[in-house]
Amino acid sequence: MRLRFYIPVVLTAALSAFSGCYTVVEHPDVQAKDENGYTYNSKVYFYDDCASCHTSTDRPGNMTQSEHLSMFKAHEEDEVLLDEGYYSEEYYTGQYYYPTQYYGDYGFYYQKPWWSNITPPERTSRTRDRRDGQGIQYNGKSRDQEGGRSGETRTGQLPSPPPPPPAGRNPGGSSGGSGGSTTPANVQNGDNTNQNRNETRSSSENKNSNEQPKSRNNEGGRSSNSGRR
Amino acid sequence: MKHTALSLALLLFFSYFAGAVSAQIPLDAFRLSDIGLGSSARALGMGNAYQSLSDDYSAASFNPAGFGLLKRMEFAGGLNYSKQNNSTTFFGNTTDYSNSATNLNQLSFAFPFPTIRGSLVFAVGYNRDRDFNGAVSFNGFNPNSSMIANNAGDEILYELGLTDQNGNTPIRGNLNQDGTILSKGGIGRWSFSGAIEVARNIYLGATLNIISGSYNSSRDYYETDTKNAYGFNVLTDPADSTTADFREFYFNDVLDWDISGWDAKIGFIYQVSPMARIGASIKFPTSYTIKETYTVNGQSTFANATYLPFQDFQNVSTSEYDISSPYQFSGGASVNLKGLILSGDVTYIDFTQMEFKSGLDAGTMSANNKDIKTTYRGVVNYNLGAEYTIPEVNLRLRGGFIMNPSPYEGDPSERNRKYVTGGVGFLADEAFAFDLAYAYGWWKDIGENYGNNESRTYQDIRNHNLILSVSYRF
Repeated sequence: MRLRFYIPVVLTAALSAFSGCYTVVEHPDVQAKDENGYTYNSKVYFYDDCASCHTSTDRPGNMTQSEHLSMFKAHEEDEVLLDEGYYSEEYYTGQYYYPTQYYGDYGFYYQKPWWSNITPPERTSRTRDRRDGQGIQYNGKSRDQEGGRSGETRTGQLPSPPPPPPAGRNPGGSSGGSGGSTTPANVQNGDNTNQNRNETRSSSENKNSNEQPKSRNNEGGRSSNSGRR
Repeated sequence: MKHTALSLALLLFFSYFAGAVSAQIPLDAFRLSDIGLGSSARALGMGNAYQSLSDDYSAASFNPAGFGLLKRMEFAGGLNYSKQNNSTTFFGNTTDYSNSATNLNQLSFAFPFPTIRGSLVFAVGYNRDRDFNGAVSFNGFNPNSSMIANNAGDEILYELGLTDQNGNTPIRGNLNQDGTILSKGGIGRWSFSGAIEVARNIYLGATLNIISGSYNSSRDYYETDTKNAYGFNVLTDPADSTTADFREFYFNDVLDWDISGWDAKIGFIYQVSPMARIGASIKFPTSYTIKETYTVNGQSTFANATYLPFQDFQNVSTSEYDISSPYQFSGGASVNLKGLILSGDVTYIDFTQMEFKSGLDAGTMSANNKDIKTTYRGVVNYNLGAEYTIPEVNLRLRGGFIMNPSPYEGDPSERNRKYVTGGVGFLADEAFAFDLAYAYGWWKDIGENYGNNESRTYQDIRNHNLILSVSYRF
């Protein structure tokens, strides 16, 4: 009798817990294209700025709406997040169980992730696929790793301090062309340039420091990056 | 019939000094299956109405899904001070007695894994969530009965010259009875926990507890012929002339447990809205292993002699056996009204599911498990709590109420354990949280020195519990 009850409960709990239906520990790689037209896979880390790529309305070009919503459902209703950034103080003022206007510092005590204080490291590696002629798989607005598009560079500068107000942001206009309206405001404004750890620069540094595996150094496209900056 | 089974249990408890042969009783199972006051100052301050909150390490004790709400790493520790005052009325005399203890009750670390979305948290730590601290003292003249007569067949009574070889004694009462019982110990849990956000705002968690603990109860019991009812003309053992003029019988027994075991708990929390949460948990039966040592000693005093047990008297016995506690089903909800949190929990425990599993002879085990079915009942515990935060000074004020109905079948409501709780919390530098909680409990109880309502104590218990918790989130 006890086993008949015990087993279904444990199995249900285990299946639910490990189904991975919501919590995402590792973001799927995104594909980007360097200035030579080569596409490569780029990692996305927890300290990256979701809002720099995603809005409540955008979605990568080859994803269905339902796929996108399942990935980013956490954010779609969260205008504060999208506008101000995941770790901005404004994010904690009214969205959660302990809003700071009623709980003071307890709001941060409970809700501000510890990894929000991590300074994003310099990108030192990436996985690159040489796919001549294939171009970028997603539409341009979510690909800020592309070399040569400094205004669209993926920043990864999420955490603190919170980004300035999104003066140049147009949340509803992200479906534009390659100009990509999801670019964070601070990048658009031209400040904080040193934090723009775009993939192209990182790969150049890696090459110069000989940290890349030899096999990668032999990739034809890589040598053209050397000295690009 | 009221308390018949309890009396039986206590009768057995005070009867198993015969040759120091240990005899386990249903009360042993209840002692391990009862719930404690927990180890978190914030939770206790809110009356332990914490099923739907559990957003700190005490999630391991209340609802492990609460770990999923943690976003920062947390070190936590705490101290507990408990004191029990027992005002015992025994044949018209009231005696006050108390016992206190201070213990480390929490040491823990929780680690939220960095996530792109959702939540994944692991935690490990120690909780001391049960306290066996207790005290009873009684003193009164019993004209009707005597422990000597009630247990006249026991070997130690013959060795003390209180009975003849056939277990007969002329002592039938008219003695002053007094004594003390002190108990101490507790149960600690090493917990390994994890929680994950399985859907937006829905958290699941599980905890595996490795249990260690101890229990020690020491009783001193005296029967004294204060009115010279048994003079020189009365021989307690007609074959021994030195047993004339009985003066005093002293008995001491010590029950010592080394407790180990394990259990598991699963739970979920759903944040219904930014202003409301619900939560529920299931604690699976705890499997306890008890290594027991039982020691008895005694002494009798006559006008011309004093007796101790013979040197070859086996006054120490050891045994090892297993006990299983019942399931615990808990549910709760909380609402958040602009800085004021109101929370409520209910927990259902069917104490008839307690069970002696193994290690005892089949007869003892069967008898105990049958007694459990008739002695105990299922109860619903209630917890209510409130917390208000003053954001300008990062100060929190808390209050709560706990109702734990008596698990004994047929007990009146005055034997329900009731607690009012209060507490304060202060946050410094967005990282250091200091919490203090106080719980005041009161209830009535009875105890039997032997027999059924032959030597009964009426106890009025007041319990004081203080918990200090410190946590650091970074």
